Amino acid sequence: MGLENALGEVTLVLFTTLAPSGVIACLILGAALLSKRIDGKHREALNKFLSIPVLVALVGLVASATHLGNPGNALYVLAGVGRSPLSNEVLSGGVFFGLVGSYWFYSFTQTRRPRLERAWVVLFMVFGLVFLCGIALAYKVDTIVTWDTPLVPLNLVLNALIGGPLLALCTLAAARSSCGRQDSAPGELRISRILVIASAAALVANTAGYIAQNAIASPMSNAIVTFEQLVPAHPMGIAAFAVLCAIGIAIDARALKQGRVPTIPETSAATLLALAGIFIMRFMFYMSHMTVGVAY
Amino acid sequence: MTQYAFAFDSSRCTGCKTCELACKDYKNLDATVAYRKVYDYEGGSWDVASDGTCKTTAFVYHVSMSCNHCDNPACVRVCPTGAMHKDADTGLVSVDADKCIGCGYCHMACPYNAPKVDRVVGHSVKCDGCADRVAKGLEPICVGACPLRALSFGTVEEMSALGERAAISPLPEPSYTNPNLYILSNPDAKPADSDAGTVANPLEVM
Repeated sequence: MGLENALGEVTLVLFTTLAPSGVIACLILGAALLSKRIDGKHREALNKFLSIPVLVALVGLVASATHLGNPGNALYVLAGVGRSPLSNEVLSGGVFFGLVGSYWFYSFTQTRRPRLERAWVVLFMVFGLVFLCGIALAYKVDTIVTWDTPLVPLNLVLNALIGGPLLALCTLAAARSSCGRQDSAPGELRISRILVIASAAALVANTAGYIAQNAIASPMSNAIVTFEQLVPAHPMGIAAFAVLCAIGIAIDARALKQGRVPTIPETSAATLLALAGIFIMRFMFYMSHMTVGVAY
Repeated sequence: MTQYAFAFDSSRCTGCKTCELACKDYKNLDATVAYRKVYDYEGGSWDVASDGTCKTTAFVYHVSMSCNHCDNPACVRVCPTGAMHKDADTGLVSVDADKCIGCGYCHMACPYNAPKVDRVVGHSVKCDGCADRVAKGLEPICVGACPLRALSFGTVEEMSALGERAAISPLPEPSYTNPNLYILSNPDAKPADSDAGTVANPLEVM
């Protein structure tokens, strides 16, 4: 019964799948850019390929705008800042994309101003975090009983912590390739290992979070519908999510076990599989919409 | 400010849906949109005792409801643009089509199933309490159309004298939004948190 709801909001499913992971990948690249151990050529490549996670997040944002009935009135969204969670999300997203986008454009200039660049990176990282919180809390409304649990925002952040590191590895692989290097830079193997372990840990936590959400939401019902009628395959969805993400993480982990950093095809496949798993659970999230009253 | 409210006598309503149709006709709504809906709430069973006699707990009653123009409307709280707003003079909640982006957040948040995004016009639509008629001293069209006189409309002081703030199933606890709907209960009515019955006509109201 929830299928119609999720199909109607499929662009929001896409947005909440892509944007959080894109933001976390931007944060990881930002942290790398702040490191003083990165040489000029590598920094230049990282700056250039920062466009990958930004584009991933941006595709989500553009997709989400297509579900609006009248995008021409979009500027009025600022009127609800502080009151409406959606306005907070849109404003923080706008500031984040403005900062990271302008940094990316600025990074092509010939003259280097390290202090300014570092400040810019710190700013987009801070607003990236704010934006991520904005997305996670966008649907925190006490009248939507299936969404008003602490696990809903937590699971979205954990989604981002699965997909973000894998997307960052994909970006690092692209940057490495553009530098003409097949081998990894000093410390890159170690950082790649940390990212894969972080993603795997997030997957374990997220799977537990989804199982807990399933336990909380399964008994929920209103006078019209039950949670199980809305999302009959929720446990199957959790299993599919866990398997897809685990395979994705395993692809990168296999390369690292062989003592090398994963290649572009490997990291791309890993990212796509994880995002597919996350997409399934985001789809089921929109299927599960149920109010405390007479609506779903 | 005058806060307007509806009152509903659930002991009178037969579920005929004249109110719903009068609204659809007056507001020129198509088949997919209804501002007022009638919920058929049913439950209970027939049980056979050991001596062969039957006892029933079966019940059915109807709740006619549109927007309840709540004191703390969830739709207004979440609306990002301020398009969904509460009129300062009448307390009636309506949509400013020139500000609405049609995001559907009001529809998601309202526990009374009141606002809906009309994809044809590109913005949210809902009951505005027939604000134009009220301004002329007339009652909303649904109230005038009810053949059983089960619906009333007036100031919150007048309506609250006719019943309790809406707290019967299938409606939620009124504390979420403080609806300006006052209900005169019926002998079969179940409290708001009851799971004794279900809405038997979901396809008509969703």
